[in-house]
Amino acid sequence: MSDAARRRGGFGRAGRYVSLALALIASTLLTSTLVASGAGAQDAAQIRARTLAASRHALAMRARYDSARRAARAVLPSDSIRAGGLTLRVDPEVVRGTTRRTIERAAARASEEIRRTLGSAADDLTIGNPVVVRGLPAYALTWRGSRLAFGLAGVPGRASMYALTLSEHEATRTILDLVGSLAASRAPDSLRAWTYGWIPAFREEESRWADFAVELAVSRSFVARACHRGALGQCERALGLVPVHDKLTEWYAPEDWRALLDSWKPLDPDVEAVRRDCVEKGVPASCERAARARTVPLPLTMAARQSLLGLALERGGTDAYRRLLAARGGVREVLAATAGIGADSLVAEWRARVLAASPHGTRPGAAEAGFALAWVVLLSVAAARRRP
Amino acid sequence: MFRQVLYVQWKWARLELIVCAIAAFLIPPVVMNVFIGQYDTYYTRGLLTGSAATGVFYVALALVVAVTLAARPWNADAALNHAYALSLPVSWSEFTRYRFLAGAVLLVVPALTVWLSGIVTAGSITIPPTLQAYPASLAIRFLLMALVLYSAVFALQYVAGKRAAKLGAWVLVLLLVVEVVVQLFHLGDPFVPTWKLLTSWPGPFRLLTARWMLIDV
Repeated sequence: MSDAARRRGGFGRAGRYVSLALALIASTLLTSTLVASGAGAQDAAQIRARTLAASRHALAMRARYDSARRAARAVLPSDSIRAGGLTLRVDPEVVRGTTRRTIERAAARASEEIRRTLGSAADDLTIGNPVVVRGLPAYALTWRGSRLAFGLAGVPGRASMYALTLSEHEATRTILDLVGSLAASRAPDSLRAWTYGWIPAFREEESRWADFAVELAVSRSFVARACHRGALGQCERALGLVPVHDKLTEWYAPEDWRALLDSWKPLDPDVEAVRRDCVEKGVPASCERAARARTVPLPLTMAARQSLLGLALERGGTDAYRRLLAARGGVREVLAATAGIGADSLVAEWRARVLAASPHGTRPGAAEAGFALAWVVLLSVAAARRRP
Repeated sequence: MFRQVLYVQWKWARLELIVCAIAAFLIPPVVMNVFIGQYDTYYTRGLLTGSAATGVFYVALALVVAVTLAARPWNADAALNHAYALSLPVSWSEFTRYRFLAGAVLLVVPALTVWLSGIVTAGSITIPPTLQAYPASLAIRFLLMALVLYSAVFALQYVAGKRAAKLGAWVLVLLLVVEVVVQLFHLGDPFVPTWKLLTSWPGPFRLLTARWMLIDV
């Protein structure tokens, strides 16, 4: 890629804008033509006026498309915002005032979080691949108000759109999410495939661990439920650390197949009939036939896998990411090298952490109860202050 | 004197309390049985969905009980221009305190029913090994939430007096107007942060948004 092209950033969305604008122009002209042709009672002057209005609208759409394309190709300053080892290139015409201050604060927070999670090895992650924040002008038929697009220069794919009034939390999470893609791009192939090209550059919030506890307990896969009950070998299987030959039978028991097919909608009507036979009547042969016709889903979500990697990074300390980059072998070996402990121990720790975060129904904590009672006292005192 | 106030308030509110207690006893088992079927993998998810659906009922019940117990004594006193309350040999603040405490004590009735109902419901269904029943935790949360809601409504009623209902309606209208204005001028959403402020620490209604689950992980 040339320097100029690199400076422009790697969004490569011009094609999307072209197709969007062409679709809008075509639909406008088509609608006006259909309306005009359907209105048999109109005279020639009325039809001419409608056609003129439609062409003016199409021109306006074209102007909007041009401005969007200009924004997408605008050359951005190379060091708009710097925070620690993090570099952001922002469009100065759109990212200004409060929005800029929000993004600066978010970059500072993200930089701290990246340093805390990935250590100093991540300092040069955004060199050559800065986070790019472009402004997209208002597009009357699609968005109301200008938008911000977060992406990575030179890396196609992941991009997030926000209103100019985005919160610091949203900006921070988006930057961390993008850096996660960069961090994964240097990881060993086995790990990259296992996490679908993303490494958590932040520590998971406690509420997420509670979600994993629920996921484990009510999973459609028997290996995940067995993991919840304490079978550590099944935890490894559920997390995709053990090679499988037949995913359907090794991840899902026959009694799980009905639930597996419940939310799946096959395109083939024959398979759909078999699926219905399974879901509605519970015919075992139909369940197997239909289940074999679909892609077998992972026992646990990708987020659960990534939480295991996040735990390995946390357990391994500041040099964990450096060790991850240097590690060789399969996923188990990379995770063990990252965490500095055996993969078995890491999985056991992961399970313990997940179970510790279980929501336990509605049990209110002592602090929660104490605070509620404090509000009760405060409100009751307030009620007695006014005499009728 | 507190016993007399408590007795009078019980007489005023007993019909509503009994209806609420019956609802608390019957609705959870019915809802749970709607969501669960044959015991298989379906069952585990259905049980959790049913439990979450029942949680909405508990929140609604806490609100109904709180409003009933907070508004009833004020309305009864206001019908006589508070002549009874002001003729008593106790200060207004002490009398209000008795009224408040009596209502708070009566909240124990629906809370106990929620607990008993939870035990009965949990006993009547098969709970998978990965899930557990939490009837006592649910009853404690219900009692705390009902207490906070009751205190809020009681404070509004006794501070705003006759204008409490009107004030509540005005607040709703104001919220609606603000929503329309911010949507028209693309000013962002003010309700999400306000709601978060009220339902997260140190807001008063933090318990409201927690998991209200009889059966949970």
